[in-house]
Order: sequence, then structure tokens, then C-alpha cells
Amino acid sequence: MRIEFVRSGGFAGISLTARVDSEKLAPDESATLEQKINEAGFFDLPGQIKPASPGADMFEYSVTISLPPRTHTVIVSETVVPERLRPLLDHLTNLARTGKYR
Amino acid sequence: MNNHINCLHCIVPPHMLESMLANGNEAQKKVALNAIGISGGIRGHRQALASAVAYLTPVTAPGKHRTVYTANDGSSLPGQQVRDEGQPPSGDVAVNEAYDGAGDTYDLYWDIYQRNSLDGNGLHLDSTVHYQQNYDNAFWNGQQMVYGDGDGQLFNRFTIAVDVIGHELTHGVTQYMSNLDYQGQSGALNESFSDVFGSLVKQRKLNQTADQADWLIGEGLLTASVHGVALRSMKAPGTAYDDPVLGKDPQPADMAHYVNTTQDNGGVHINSGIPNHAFYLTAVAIGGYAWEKAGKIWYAAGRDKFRSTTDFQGAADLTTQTAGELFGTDGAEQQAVKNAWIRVGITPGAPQTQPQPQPQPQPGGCVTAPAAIIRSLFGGS
Repeated sequence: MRIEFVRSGGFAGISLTARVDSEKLAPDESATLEQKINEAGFFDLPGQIKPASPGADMFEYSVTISLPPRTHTVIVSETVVPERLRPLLDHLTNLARTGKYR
Repeated sequence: MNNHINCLHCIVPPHMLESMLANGNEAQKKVALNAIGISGGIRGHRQALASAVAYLTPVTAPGKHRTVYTANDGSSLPGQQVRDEGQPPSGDVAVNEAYDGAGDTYDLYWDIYQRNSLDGNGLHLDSTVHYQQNYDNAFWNGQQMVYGDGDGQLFNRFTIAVDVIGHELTHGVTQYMSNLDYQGQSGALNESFSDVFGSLVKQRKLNQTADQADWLIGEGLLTASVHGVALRSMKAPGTAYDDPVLGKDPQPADMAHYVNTTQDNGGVHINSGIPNHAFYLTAVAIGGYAWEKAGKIWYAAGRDKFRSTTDFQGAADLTTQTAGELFGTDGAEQQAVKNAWIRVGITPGAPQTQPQPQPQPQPGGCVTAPAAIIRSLFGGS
């Protein structure tokens, strides 16, 4: 499984990125990720989730997950993140913050 | 009532609104004022309404109303109210900064540009602080400002810099004026407008002339452990920070270094460096307080001439045209604007060839002539 995560936008305009290859993760870390992906129902989410009022300076998340045979990308603005997706985004944000997955 | 006003602003000619203001009773004046306020969104009417708008300028600020809420580290908006207009300072520094910064921003727009709040019609200024935990951002959600406390390692609380507050509120102003699309060049212009007027709020608060100002956006926002002075520099885009964790300030100062990207709505926070620098160059060339002439040119162009799709070339053309209208064709001010855009790589077109924006029909009204309303206003019993 491969994951590409980008959080762009925000007042600072500084992107946060992570590229994760599950084969290079510790088994428990990989299992945690898969659990959050399942709980998010990630592959059933729409590709784009945007707020009715665009506003400004909000974070935008882009997550692409390849879990053969499926590949899916979800782009979502921070104010309209579905509740079930939030734990996965928080987890990926924390992974990106470590700077080990660029 | 709202439908009536919507119709009124489309149908009643400006001279009639003016007559209502001059001769009507209190209720009629109020309706006329509302009609003019609503028509603020229709740029084509602006010029024609100028004389009537003069009536909109009372001696004291007509409607500064600030309310600050706390999200208590959660995500619900607006959250719990903690300070309303006129109430004494709270014990919470973020609450007081959000309140005072909203006041400084309101005052710039009212005192200098005679704009009554974000919508020109006294819209209440709502702010929420303590949004989520360790949240490294501030945003405008289309209705209110939202501020995080920062993570403490890279970012301090976002209310710490008054230009950040002016920036967020100006997104509201832009939304009610040109409503610049938040994508690509129009999005970068939207961002730049927020940086320009955010910086002007700070400069006016500090009583600084253009050459005294630091022209930084978000000074004090980065913690001491970050190698950087701010998030953006209008004076020298690309130099605000260079840090092992945050990376280097990616802003270009001219078109030769324009960044093509799909992230961040097409780099709206990156390429804003180009119009930011054009404003800085204009203000320094004109001299004195930047909000007085350069700010007035940018504000009037944004209010009367920009559309949602205006790009950098359009901004160069329209600010140059506006400078000529306000301060004289080929005057020092217009030359300053023109030279500034040329220095960032954009040559303003011949000002007289610019098409005037046409008023667009507003949804939800304006189709039928409200003859009965007009009758009731002028001759009604």
C-alpha cells in the first residue's frame, strides 16, 4: 500500500507532505493505518469535498491511496472533513510533521 | 422587506435615491440607505451613486460591532461568546487581540475609505479564537474569522500580529466587492489584497510612513526557534524565512519567477508576492503614509473595477487607470503605479482602452418594477 498525503494552503501557504510505503513501516504502524483507512471508508468517499462558501486561507488535504487493485484520491477542504475521515487525516498530518516521510 | 430592497436597488435611479435621502422621512431615508448599501455589490452603479453615497457619511462610526467567541480547543463555530462590543477586556490575550485587531481594521476602512464594515453596511465582525488544538492557521470561512493558538514549536497564536487580523477581515471585504475567485492569479490577487490592507492596518496603528514600515506579514507569528522574521515580505518577497523545518519562503517578486503549481489553489499564497511587491513599490515611490494614496488607489480599483476573474494584467491596468482618475492622468501617482507594475514584469495597458464593468443582474429579484414600492415611498399615505 502506498499513500501520498499533501496538506496545502493555510495562511502561511506552507505545504506539509508525506509519502508512505506500508512495506517500509513497522507491522503495528501499518496495521494502524489500514484500520483508519477502513474506518474512513476511504475508497467510498467522493474525490472532491468542497464547502459551499469558499472562504480563504483554509487548509486543503489531498490523499491518494494505492491498495491494489484500487487507487483513489480524495481532496477535501478542512471545514468539511467528514467525521469518519478525520482520524486518518490527523494521523497522516502527524506522520508528515515528523519529516521522515517526504 | 428584503425582497423589496433588492428590487429597489436595481430599479430606483440614483437621483431618486438621493431625493429620498434629502427629502424623505426617517423610514424612507433608511430604505434608501439600505438600497445603496446593497447596491455596493454592483460596481457599475458605484460611480452614478457617488453623490447619494455622500449622505452615507455621518460624523461618527455608524456600526462597529465586534463579537469574540472561543472554540475551547474544539471545531464548533462560532463557539461560546466571550466578549461583545463595548465590554471590558477579558483576561484572555487572544480574545483581546482579536477584538482590538478587528477594531483597528474596521477603523482603517471607515476612517480612510468610508467603508462601513466588510459589506459596506455595518456587518458584525465575528471572530473565534482557540480553534482546535495546536492549530497552525487562521482563516476566513465566508462569514467569520477563525484563529488557532499555534503549536508553540513553530507558530505562536495567530492573533499575535495585527496584520494577520487585517488580512482575514479583508478577505471579507473582497468577498463583498470583486469576489476574486480563490484560484490561480485572481486567487493570488485576493491574497495580495489581504496582505496589502493587513499591512496598512499595522502601519496606521504604528503611525508609520511607507519608508518606515517593515512590510512584513505575520511578524511575531514564528517562534524564536524558527529561522525567519515573518511569513511574507512585501518589500523583498522570498526572504521572510529560511528554516530547516519550514523550508524557504517560496514567494516570487516578479513574473520571471512566477510559480506554476496545482497546490494551494494554484499557489495563491506564493504568487501573491508579485502584486504585493507592486504595491510596496508604488507606496514607496509615492511616499508618505501608504494608506493615503497607494491604499486609496488599490481600494477604489478593487471596489469599482475588479471582477471575480481579474488577473495580474487586469490589476495592473485597472490600478493604473484608477490612479489617473483619482490623482490625474500622467501625474506622479499614476507614474508610480505604472513603474511599479513594470518592475514586477507587467506592463499596464493603455488605461483608456479598459472596458467598464457592466452591472450584473442579481439573483432573486430585480425582474419586476416595484412601482407600488416607489409610490409608497414618495406619495404613500
